[in-house]
Amino acid sequence: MPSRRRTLLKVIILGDSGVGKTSLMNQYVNKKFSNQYKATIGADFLTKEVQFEDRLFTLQIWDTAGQERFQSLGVAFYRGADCCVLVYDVNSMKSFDNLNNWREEFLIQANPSDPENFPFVVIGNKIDIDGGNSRVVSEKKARAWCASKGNIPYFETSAKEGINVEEAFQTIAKDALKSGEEEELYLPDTIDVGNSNQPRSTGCEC
Amino acid sequence: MEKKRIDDYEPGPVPSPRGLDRFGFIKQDANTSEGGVKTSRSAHEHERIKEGRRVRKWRKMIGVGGSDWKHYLRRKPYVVKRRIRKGIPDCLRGFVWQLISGSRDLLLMNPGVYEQLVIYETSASELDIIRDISRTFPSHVFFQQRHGPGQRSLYNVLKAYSVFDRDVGYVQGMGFLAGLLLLYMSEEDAFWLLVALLKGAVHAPMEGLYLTGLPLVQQYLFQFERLVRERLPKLGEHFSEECINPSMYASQWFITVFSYSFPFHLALRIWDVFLYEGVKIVFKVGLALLMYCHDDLVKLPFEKLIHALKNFPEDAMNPDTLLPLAYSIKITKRLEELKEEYEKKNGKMSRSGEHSKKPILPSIHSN
Repeated sequence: MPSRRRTLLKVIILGDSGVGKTSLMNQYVNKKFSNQYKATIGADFLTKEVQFEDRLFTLQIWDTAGQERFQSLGVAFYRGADCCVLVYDVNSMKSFDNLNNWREEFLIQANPSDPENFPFVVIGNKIDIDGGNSRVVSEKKARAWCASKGNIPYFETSAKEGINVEEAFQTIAKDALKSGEEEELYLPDTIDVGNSNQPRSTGCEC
Repeated sequence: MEKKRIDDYEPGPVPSPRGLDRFGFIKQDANTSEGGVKTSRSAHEHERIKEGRRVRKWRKMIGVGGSDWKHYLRRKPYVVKRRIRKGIPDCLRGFVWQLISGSRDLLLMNPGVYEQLVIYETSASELDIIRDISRTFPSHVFFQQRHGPGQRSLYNVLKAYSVFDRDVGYVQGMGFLAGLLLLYMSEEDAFWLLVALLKGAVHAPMEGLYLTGLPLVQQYLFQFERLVRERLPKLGEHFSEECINPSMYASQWFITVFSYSFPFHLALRIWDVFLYEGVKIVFKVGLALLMYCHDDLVKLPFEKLIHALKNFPEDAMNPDTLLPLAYSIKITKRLEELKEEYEKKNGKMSRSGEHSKKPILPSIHSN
């Protein structure tokens, strides 16, 4: 499956419960917003075809449950990710404070080969709420945190209004592609599928 | 004449206004018929008469206020089992669920406790619960209205449980259990049924589905994966080739007992059997779904496979074909062996997955 390995990009979305992970994914993939999403139990995923320089890629986006207790189920989804999206709600300080935990949890569970340079993207969602009046996390503060973690790209979005979602995911896809290709450089042409040290796999870690 | 008809035959859910299905969910597609089964007028009439007969049989079996139930159950457990597998009449469902789950006894033994939990106690999970209230059965008319009676009851039951059992507290997924129950019984009844399930009044306690680390989910997923490989070897092999494991599709089957995303009429039928026979039915239904769709599933690559496992076709989810298939799968002994194997590998779970005989009310505080 060498061709598939090159054309599949795996993205995982993490963040506290209720920050809008499912909504962001659906806005990006289906261009739709609904007030009727159920709380995500376990994990869900959608795919989208993206094109870069005449090449087609499948972006496989994993949406996870935000409640801390579900992290024990997350391992199967974290492994093999090419990019990790950290989402918080600009109207909730707690969801911002937790970004650090989500980032560390991801690095521990996913165990990427080059954790220092693993691509993250941070999204501050729900900028539409109350016309921005109930916002408690400033853009400056968020950008400062992103800068301190190795210049993580930062986007402010409204999944409801569809603001900046496309832009955020373009960066996500680009960074995932870069990370996927860089890692391939370390790999020999033929890969021993039985080798459990294989740093990344097609869909998941078996 | 009209009166007699009403006395003899109670159809359960009231005939619904346009736009709602017979369970109160907002119809996604106006062309979809209720329960996914199209019936002609005479067939409908036939169904109605049959249903009336069933209700009368059930009434006799239960007796006034449940007075004959225990006696009947002792004398003819197999008749009870067979009738439950055919589906409990909707108008009696809520009451029968309380009888078979053991929650009725808990309620009677603990007067005033629920009120105490709701009114006087505070819970660390209150904000978490509130955040999920509008995300639980959002397309059901009872739970739709912001701060309406449905949302309030759901909040009260979940908050009461999170105080009652502080180790479990509130975990996403419990809302779907509570929500389903609240469509068939009062808040207090729903609370005690939740207690009966999680603490194990009749069957093994389910609290391990929600405790830190979700130990019982992990065990069930291990058992399920093995059963798939043993009973459906071709599909099992295809799953491993495509790197599919059950945590990607089956965790919500166990965590919400099929109430999260399955058609409601199917979920109810599964719950009838689940409350009487225990969690085995979740495994059986899961296997039956895979069996029914086997020939399609083995052909699909990863992405399509995951999608298919979360969106089974309508004909696969018809209770009258799916459930008989599920009943025909025998797994009791194998499930037990796999549980032992799992415990040997991972250490025995200290408190869940075991049918402990400790008192069911350990955490009520007297303050």
